Amino acid sequence: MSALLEARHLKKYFSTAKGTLHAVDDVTFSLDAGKTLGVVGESGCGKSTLGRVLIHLLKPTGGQIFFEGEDITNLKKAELKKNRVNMQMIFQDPFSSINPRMTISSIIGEPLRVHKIYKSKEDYRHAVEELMDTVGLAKRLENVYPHELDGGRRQRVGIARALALNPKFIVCDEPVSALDVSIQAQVLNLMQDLQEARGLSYMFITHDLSVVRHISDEICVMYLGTVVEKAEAKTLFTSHRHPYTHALLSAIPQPKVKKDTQRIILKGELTSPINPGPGCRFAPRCIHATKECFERAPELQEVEPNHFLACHHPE
Amino acid sequence: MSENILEVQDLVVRYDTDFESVHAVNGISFHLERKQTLGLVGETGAGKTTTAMALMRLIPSPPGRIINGQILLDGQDIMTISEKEMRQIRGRKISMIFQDPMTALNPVLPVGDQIMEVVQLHNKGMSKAEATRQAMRMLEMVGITAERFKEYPHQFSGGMKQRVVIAIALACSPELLIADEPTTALDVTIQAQVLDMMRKLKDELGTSMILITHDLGVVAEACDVVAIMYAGEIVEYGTLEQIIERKKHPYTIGLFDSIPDLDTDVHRLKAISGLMPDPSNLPEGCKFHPRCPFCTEACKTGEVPVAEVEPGHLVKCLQFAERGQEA
Repeated sequence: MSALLEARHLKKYFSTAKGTLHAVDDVTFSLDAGKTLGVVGESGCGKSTLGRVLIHLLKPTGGQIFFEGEDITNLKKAELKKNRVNMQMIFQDPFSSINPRMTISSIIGEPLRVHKIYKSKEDYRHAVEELMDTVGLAKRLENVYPHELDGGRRQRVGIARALALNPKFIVCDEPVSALDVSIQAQVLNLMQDLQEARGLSYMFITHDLSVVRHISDEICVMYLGTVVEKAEAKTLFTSHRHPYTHALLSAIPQPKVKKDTQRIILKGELTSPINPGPGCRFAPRCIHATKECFERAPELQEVEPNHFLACHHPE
Repeated sequence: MSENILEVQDLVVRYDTDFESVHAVNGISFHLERKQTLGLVGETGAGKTTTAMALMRLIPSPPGRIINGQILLDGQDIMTISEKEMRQIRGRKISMIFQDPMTALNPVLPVGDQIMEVVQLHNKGMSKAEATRQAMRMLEMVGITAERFKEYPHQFSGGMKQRVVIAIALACSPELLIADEPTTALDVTIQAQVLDMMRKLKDELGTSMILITHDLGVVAEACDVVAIMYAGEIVEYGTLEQIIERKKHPYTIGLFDSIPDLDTDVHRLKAISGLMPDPSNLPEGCKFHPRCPFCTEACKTGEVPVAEVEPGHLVKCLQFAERGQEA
């Protein structure tokens, strides 16, 4: 099976007053149709930037993006617009990602209007109604404004808008982190149902590791712009080998009475992504770091089938 | 010296506006033993922060009003004392860490000055040099080198800022510390650092703590006693073990089921259907009944009594009230 989406050596640098900020640095992965790739990492590791680069909200500095085998890295505006039909995004904050001055139905229908999908008003209205029904928004909410809705419903509006064009791939940037747990579970279930019904592929960006394990087929752990480990969801949780993955997983507080897990508390914080040195980005906080780690960056290598790792001293 | 650092009896807080009255906290009672940590758990709008604000007597009035209730802090009724006396207690006996470290600090004052402010306010007559030394000690205690004393909040990262806020809260060694979602704005690895530090400091200083959070993982990590709040009421109360291993209330069960488990695979999450009720328009009877899978006719009217299912384990649910009567 050929991959739906593929990124090869993708890079995104920003120039700042202090130097070049390496937000995404040499990221390679592929995603099959109907699957979910989870991307985890702490704030500032470049996971949101990666999502934005993939759907061309940001222009990559280097590397290539393939969608259904076709190179879409340097598309012209008109071609890009055509491509967007297949790729959509659900944003993190349901409060700021929808226009407060538009009604719910016009927000959901906007992509349909922009791409002139329906000729008749009847068809358009019918499509919007169907979308609202799909995500579980009552028809009476058609003409209300976003401020009248709670966070969970607003996020459903964002999901409906992303689904409007019947895309194949959706980047979900922390879609549930602004929601309460009981509502979070409702939205996660909805997203899974939609995936099964429509064969959607998701790239699921989050910092919540229990959510990512639940929803992903594969998980990719990022640290300061680079992928440090990538494996199937179960493998990653049971037999991860990168020290950062280990520390990250052991840091999750679990709602259970005392378990005998050894917690690794990382010292310090994320170092600056501006003009990073030649070595491994995690080396300054790593317990196993040696001289080699500071001098030469490890490459992402396949250590077992479908388990990729970038570390000189795997656990 | 009483055994309980804090006793709260039948606390009711309401926000009245011209259009509606918001029933934020509806008759909660609990107590906290010395050196223990109580976890106050619930979702947005459950009344956790309002409860904390009431304990600090910081409810903005108007529109907020403490309608009823007694709060005994170290045996002293803080509801009846004057604002001037309360100011002496705040910071010295009871102190608070606010949710968002980004906005809790004053951006135009160096962090050192902000810690000194508390020290000087509560120790009249202390020399400036002595206050500075005390503030520096506090900084070192939360793991920030004293050299950064003169730096401004924007020069610190989120986790560091939260440490500064903790240093301010602990500067006068309060007996009771209220921490309102202290780690919610932080990344997991930083959260682990901060939780670890708070636990150590609490043991060292012998502080009692109320930890407000919506993260059940953090509760399991840090608390001795847990109170689950829903729509301004405590629906279940017990020790950490009772709540996690033998939870009884349908809402508590639903809350735990909503979180994906790291060790077991489930295809679909068991979500609680429906939404939190609007606190200005609470349902009759049990506040949880519209969302409860075990709802019966009896749940829809009248007050729900609190049942003690085992020593110290309180559940506010009719299922158990009836069973209690039979036994």
